[in-house]
Amino acid sequence: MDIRTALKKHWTVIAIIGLIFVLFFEAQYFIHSVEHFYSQGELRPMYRHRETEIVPQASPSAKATIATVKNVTVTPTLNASSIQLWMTFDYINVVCKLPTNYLKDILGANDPRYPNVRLDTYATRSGIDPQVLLRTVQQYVASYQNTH
Amino acid sequence: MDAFAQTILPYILLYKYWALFIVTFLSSLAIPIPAGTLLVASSAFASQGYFNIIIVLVVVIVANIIGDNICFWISRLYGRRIFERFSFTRKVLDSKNFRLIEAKIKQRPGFVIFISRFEAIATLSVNIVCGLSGVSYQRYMVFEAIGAVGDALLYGMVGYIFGDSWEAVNNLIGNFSIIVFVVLIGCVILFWKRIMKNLSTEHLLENTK
Repeated sequence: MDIRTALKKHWTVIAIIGLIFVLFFEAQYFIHSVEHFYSQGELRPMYRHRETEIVPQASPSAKATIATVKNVTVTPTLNASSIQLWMTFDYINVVCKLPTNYLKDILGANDPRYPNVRLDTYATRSGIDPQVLLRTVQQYVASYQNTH
Repeated sequence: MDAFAQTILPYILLYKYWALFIVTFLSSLAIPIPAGTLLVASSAFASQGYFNIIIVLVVVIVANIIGDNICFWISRLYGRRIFERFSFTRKVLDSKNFRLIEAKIKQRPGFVIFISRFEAIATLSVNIVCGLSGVSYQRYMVFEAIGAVGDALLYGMVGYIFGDSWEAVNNLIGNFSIIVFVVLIGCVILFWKRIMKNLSTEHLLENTK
């Protein structure tokens, strides 16, 4: 029996073996990806952070008092370095636990849509370089998170 | 995160539940929008405190159900007329294989309807076939609703549990599901003849007449 005939006769088996190899290598890649993301700290179930949330509208001193009493640390759910240009001020305020007008006051933002405006849109309207605005916002947010 | 999702995500932040509803609704009509990614992201935003997870899930489920029902009823009311206008689709409709699949789905639609909710093209295909084949609307609606809830819970819980790690998890799921999908398609192609042979019974052909 020549190779061509053998291939024709057993193509199903060959195809199944090929599919198994594909699945095997994909599983390897998947496991490697999981290990990579986990080692980078990018796979962290949020329930560990959620139990530390307290009332976001409370003043800094009230939060500190409650935290002391409950022996709990207030932890924002988004680091300043994770802020991106497509995010809105409203979103940044909520997840970084900022006062509503903190960024508005510090940037001197007089956009009527604040805080429901994206960073890149605000930068375009204000004539600011988007990357400069992004770095500025990240710095101010980091500064607030370090002091509160 | 792919560029398309990154284009739509800001509108989810700006217009919140309304944007999520519209995006999910359009996706259920098989418009190629990455609704799964956006649901994972919205659930992550909920875990961060920006959205309410219950409202996110309800909005997504309702949008999916409405979109699927529209497909179903368009197929039920106008499907045959539309398909018979074009020679290619008329051939598909008249083919023995399509009649067998139609008969099988009409006989036991539950599992097929449920499992198809987890993949957009399968959802559209099954909605159209269910509409064409005369599957009882009550049966369709029950399994469709269960599937929509399951789909929303699956993606929603991934985003909610992993929060701001959602992009990494979404990438992992995306990579893995593409390959699983390709392998499944490969298996269907390999065993197509056997599947058709199993479906091809005199009893099923009698039911289609």
